[in-house]
Amino acid sequence: MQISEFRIRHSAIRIAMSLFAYAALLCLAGAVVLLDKWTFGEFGISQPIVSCPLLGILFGDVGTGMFLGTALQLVWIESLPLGGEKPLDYQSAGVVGITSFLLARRAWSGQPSLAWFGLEHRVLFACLILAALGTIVGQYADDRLRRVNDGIYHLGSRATRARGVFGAHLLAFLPALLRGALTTGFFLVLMWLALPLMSRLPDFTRDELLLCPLAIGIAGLVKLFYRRERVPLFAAGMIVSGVLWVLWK
Amino acid sequence: MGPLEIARGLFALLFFQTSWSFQGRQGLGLKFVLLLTSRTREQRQRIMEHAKGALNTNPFAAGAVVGAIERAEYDVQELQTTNRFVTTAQRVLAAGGDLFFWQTLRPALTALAVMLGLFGSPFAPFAFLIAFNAVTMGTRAIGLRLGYQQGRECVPLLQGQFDRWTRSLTPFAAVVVGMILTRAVLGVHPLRLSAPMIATLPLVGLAWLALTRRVSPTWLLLISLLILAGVKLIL
Repeated sequence: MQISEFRIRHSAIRIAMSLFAYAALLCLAGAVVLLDKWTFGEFGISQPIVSCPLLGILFGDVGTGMFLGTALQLVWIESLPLGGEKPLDYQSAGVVGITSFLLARRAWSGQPSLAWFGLEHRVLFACLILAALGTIVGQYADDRLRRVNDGIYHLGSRATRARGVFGAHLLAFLPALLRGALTTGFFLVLMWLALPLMSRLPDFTRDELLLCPLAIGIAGLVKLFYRRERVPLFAAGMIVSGVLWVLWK
Repeated sequence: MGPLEIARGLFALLFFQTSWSFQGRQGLGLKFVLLLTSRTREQRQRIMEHAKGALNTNPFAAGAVVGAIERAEYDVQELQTTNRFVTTAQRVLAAGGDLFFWQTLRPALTALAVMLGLFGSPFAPFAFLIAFNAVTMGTRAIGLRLGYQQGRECVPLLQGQFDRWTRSLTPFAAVVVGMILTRAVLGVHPLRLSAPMIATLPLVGLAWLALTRRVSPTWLLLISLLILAGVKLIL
């Protein structure tokens, strides 16, 4: 093997290894964020409007994080966990959307010959699709997790000492972390496999990509809050927003 | 109940749903919180004997249940009726809490954050986090104290409070929705009346029709993105 050939192979392995390590970091960050869904605290960190910019800040793209967070939060804004009903797992959608984008960006940063800027919006389109699929896979993983927790509940119920209850209850962190990591990891692999196809996707502007989430979000909010007697309030909001827009201008 | 005990209760309540399961719901979580906030070995022993079975209530309203049970621990007569109280309290607090936290507070605050995001503000996530956690952590603390001071009487008090908060917050949410609608039509980026944004209005109508017919937003997003991609490829 010639020295130049060895160097090329060696650098390709280094890029693959660094991408693998980066994906593992994304999985871990995604899993920790998803703990907020109901395992610990419920501070609202797993809401896409927070999780996407947060992961964006951590991995160096806050602008895209804000864009994806706004778009994905809008889509599922009227998805509510009322009573015993399980809402769609849009928290996973947020994590899947931003981590897939970050992985694609990282994959291209190691190959400067590919024009990243021409592909950015195509990748964003793919991320929105993956995020939508993320709610379905996330929901399935959530169901499996709660079944695993059935076993943990029985373990805690059988405990005769307080230490046994503490142990069983806190044990539930492990499957919850695993669930988050597997959901995120599954979509990172999908994104990695789909990377060569990105150039074939249609090219959108960010405004165009926001069009569908915006329409679904506004429709959801109107469905949630519209009553005939609140029409003056809607009108007041529209006037305030219009005035702000003019002042901004 | 002093500030230190409230702080300990608040910390324990962060783990309330950790082992949420189909069979026990938050039952193990309640036992965990009660054990973590108990002060004596006798108390722990009584909790191990009495706290059994499933429980399902709003996680932010659970402080009241915990506070009321802790109070009952000092009153043997009340302890006998505790299980009946928990059964009633979980339903009432779940109904009022879900209506306020999930159906009003969270959509209103996320709508506000989205609106700030559309205006280009980098503070949108922080505004949501601060406002949401001020209310939820505050309710947990109020619930703990109210449950401890009032015992079983805390449930109607908290329920009334949720009703008042829901009525006060809904008009604010309606104003924010109006603001988002105008922002969408005028264009997302400042200084630009973007043509596709005007197309939002008929799309909002279509999406509203679909959502009222219980079409999942997930499928709505997937289908609309694929249609958009098809149109883009044809054009």
